[in-house]
Amino acid sequence: MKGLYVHVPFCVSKCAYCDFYSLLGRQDSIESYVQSVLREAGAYPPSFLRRDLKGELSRQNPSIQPPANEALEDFPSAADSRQSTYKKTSESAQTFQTLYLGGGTPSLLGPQNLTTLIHGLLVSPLAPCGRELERGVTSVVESTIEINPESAAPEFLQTVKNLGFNRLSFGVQSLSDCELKSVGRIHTSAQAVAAIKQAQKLGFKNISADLIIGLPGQTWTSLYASLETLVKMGIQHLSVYCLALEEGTPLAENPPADLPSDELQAHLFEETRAYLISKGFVHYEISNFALPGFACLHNLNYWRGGEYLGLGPAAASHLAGQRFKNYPNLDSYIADPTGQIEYIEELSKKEKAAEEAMLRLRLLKEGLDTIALAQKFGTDNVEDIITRLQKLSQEGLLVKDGSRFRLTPSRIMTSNPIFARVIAE
Amino acid sequence: MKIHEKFENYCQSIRLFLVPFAPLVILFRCMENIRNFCIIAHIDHGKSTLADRMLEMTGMIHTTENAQVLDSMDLERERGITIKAKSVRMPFKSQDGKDYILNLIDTPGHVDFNYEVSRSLKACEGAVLLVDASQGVEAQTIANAYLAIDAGLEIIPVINKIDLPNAMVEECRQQLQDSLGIPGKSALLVSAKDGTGVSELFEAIVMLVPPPKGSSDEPLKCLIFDSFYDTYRGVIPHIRIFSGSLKHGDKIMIKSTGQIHDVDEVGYFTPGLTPTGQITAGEVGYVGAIIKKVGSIHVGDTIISPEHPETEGIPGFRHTQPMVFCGIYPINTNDYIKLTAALEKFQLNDSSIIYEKESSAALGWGYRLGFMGMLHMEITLERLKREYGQELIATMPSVIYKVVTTDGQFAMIDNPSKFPDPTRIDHIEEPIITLRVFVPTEFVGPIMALSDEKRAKLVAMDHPDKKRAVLTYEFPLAEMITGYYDKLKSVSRGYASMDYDFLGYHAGDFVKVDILVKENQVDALSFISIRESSQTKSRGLIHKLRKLIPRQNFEIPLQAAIGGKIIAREDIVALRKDVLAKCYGGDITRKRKLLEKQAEGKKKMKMVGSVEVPQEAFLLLLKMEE
Repeated sequence: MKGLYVHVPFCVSKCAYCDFYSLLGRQDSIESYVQSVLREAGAYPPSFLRRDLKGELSRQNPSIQPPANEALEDFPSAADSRQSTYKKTSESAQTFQTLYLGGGTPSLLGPQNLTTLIHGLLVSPLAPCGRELERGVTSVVESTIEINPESAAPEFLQTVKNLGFNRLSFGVQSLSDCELKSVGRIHTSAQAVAAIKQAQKLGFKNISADLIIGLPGQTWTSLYASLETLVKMGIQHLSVYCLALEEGTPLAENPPADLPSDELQAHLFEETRAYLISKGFVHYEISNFALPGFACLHNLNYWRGGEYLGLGPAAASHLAGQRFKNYPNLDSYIADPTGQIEYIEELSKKEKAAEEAMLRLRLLKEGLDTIALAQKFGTDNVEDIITRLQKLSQEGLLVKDGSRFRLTPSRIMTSNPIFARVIAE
Repeated sequence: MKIHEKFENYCQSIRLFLVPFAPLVILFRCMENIRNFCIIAHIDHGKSTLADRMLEMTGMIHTTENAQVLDSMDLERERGITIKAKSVRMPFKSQDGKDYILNLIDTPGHVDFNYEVSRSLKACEGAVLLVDASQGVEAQTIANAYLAIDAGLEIIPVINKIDLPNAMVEECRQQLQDSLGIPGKSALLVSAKDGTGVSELFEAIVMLVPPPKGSSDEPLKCLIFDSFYDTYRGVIPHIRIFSGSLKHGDKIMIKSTGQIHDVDEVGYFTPGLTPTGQITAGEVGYVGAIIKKVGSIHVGDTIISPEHPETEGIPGFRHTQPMVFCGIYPINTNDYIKLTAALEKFQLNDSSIIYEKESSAALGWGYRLGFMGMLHMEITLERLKREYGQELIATMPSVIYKVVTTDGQFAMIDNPSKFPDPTRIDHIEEPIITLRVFVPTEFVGPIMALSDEKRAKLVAMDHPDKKRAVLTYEFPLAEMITGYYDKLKSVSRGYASMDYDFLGYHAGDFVKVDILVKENQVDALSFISIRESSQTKSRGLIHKLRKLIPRQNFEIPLQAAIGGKIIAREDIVALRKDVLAKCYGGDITRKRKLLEKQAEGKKKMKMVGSVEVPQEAFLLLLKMEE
């Protein structure tokens, strides 16, 4: 296991586009929630995996695990220290090397609960060996927490810093107050800017911001203003998502008239991409841009078909080749955090190979190396996939470079139909 | 009306004269204890339920529960209609103390199968005319009654479903009287559902239906009124023997073809096949003669003895002509062989289907199928898909046009894509039917408006009673097959019923419209239209297509053209955004499932040039009219 994800399902208000599992007005349950997360962590590995996983761990096949330094190969300027730590800690498959607190609104936990949570995780069976509580998560290669601008109080950020987090992901979404309001965000652009500045002042050197393309009333001028401000502030990472109208969300039920068309969204995305590249950012994944050395390792692990454990209601995991997910139900989670598995997905090797191919093609620079894929899943299980990849490259939808395939940059915005053809003909 | 008078006389003579003396009438041979009859009714008036009840009461089956024995195909039961005629032999002990053999010959209940109905009637001496007490006399009640009267059958009027709270027995009696001249007072009251009145009906059949005539000593003459295919025994014709007898070892000859077969088995339907030593004149049964070729047995043909090849055939035999055609294609071109096998097997049990190979530039290899009518087509396509697990593309149905070329020749063309170049066409004629629509008077207005839209010519309007009207139209068959029936039902809230006959070919100003998808002509979408409405139709079709074909990586112009002239156009703009962004805390499964769904959708697409066209684009055009 490389990654540990903790889902924090609390929010002060629900954004109009959001279909993540999160609850309003349940902050009184945070303490019991934290205890349950620690119980879930303490019970690792999940009982259904115990035998499998031990077997898996004992016959740990090195060819199945991508090389430990793969994460950094695109970023030669990455800090040496990060690389060496990464190498060292990757030896134990049972502990995590990246930590990600997502939500919901993790910043709603407050200093006390966050400290309890992190300390608890560090003494759990999951923690890298020999950690000392006072060092916090400093020696976890990458530890990220999502911060919402309105709940980024200086003392909370200070706690985050003290606990050893080395990466912050701010839910900025836009720096136009109009656009923020239109989708029910409860913070202002000024709050977002102030929060980031505060974090920088505290010494955070790996800061990411989320932006949304396709907000009601958005234009290139307004999007450019948001981008430019953030880039000038010196943040290292940007996640740029296209607004999706997810079934059941208020936005999908009542779409505002001034939602940008698909054409405009595509245009905004192209402009964003060009601008960020001109500012030295690497477009390393479909919706992620980073300065060299600042790609999000936790997310890279997702795209590389890596293993991770998700804790909390609705959290997804990938262990011993199986994906499984907890029920999205806070109350039942609090009552019985280890009995929440909603489904366990059993896929054939062929299906797993196709899944990984699809995931890796999202990595625009790194792409998909078919030799490595064949090594991992067996030549027989990847033959059909390679045939399909070749056809796609002949059609100009993928770019072939030796044994490696990459998504054609102009096809990023219409990549779903391409991935669908990678998965199955 | 002449036919009424004829019927009136017939009834009178039977009822007033023959009935009181029936037990005294002595007929020659031993046929006096046989009664061959059928049940005729409008669709859904309870024919199959009555048949079940009769089988139950004569001990042929023990319990029917919900099963309708004579409707053996799932689809028939689902749609509540009987497609294939079948028959059954029932022993019956009458109140007069004698034992009788009652042969019930089931008839198909839909307007598309008039010919089969007429052949089944030929095998009987009497017909139970069933009317739903809650619905009254409807179009097919009348059409079938006329067929029975023409065939010289004794008619026993029966009002069914009298258990329903909305039964209108008196109205039904009046309608029988008014629209058919049948004495309504004599109608028996029955509830096939609970068995009320069925015993009385048996007695009436014994008393009123004349026993068959004919002699076992005369040369063999049998009518084929149905057939089915058995994997081991080949084609099994259902027969009514008019004269002579049949037993194992006999030789038989098919009148129309002269083919000779050796009789392997003869028997009755009970309702399964029950072999017997011999069947003789007046009886109904089957004959097995290892007839392997499906096309060699046709309903209406006559079986005779090769020793007497001069024996005349039973009049009225004709090869049925399909009226409606459509192309069918496998979604995946590799499945063509599977489709071929499925069709071959299918035709064994429905010889009224004809098919021939056809190829489409857009859809590859497929078959052109001919059907007796629109309903026949819908049922067949449904069954093909269901029984053989085949995904199919069915092209827009077409009728047979008579295309007269400038050199004075003419061709009968059932496929728009085979039309000659417009410059070579002198004129085109289309098939016209005589359509009778039965409808409560309050719906006459909407029906007339609907029919006007369909280029119908009203030739008569009758009022069989105060509440109902019969509209008789000269109606283009092509308009019938593009959704008229469904619309008729909807504008009349289900009350209208209809019946039709083929009338002839009439000339009209027709054009062939071609559809182009990204400059590629899709032959399977070509259609024939009257010139006047061709542009409206084309616009409608193009508009529908635009909504059906998903946006793709490039712009797709959709055009409709007559000859080289574009008469309608819409463009599908290129796909600009279809991307999954957020990774939901590593919820890859959700992402993968979305993509799998897309991939699944792609499988149902047909490639037309570089464009993926969903199956629905072809299917929806079946019901293009809007």
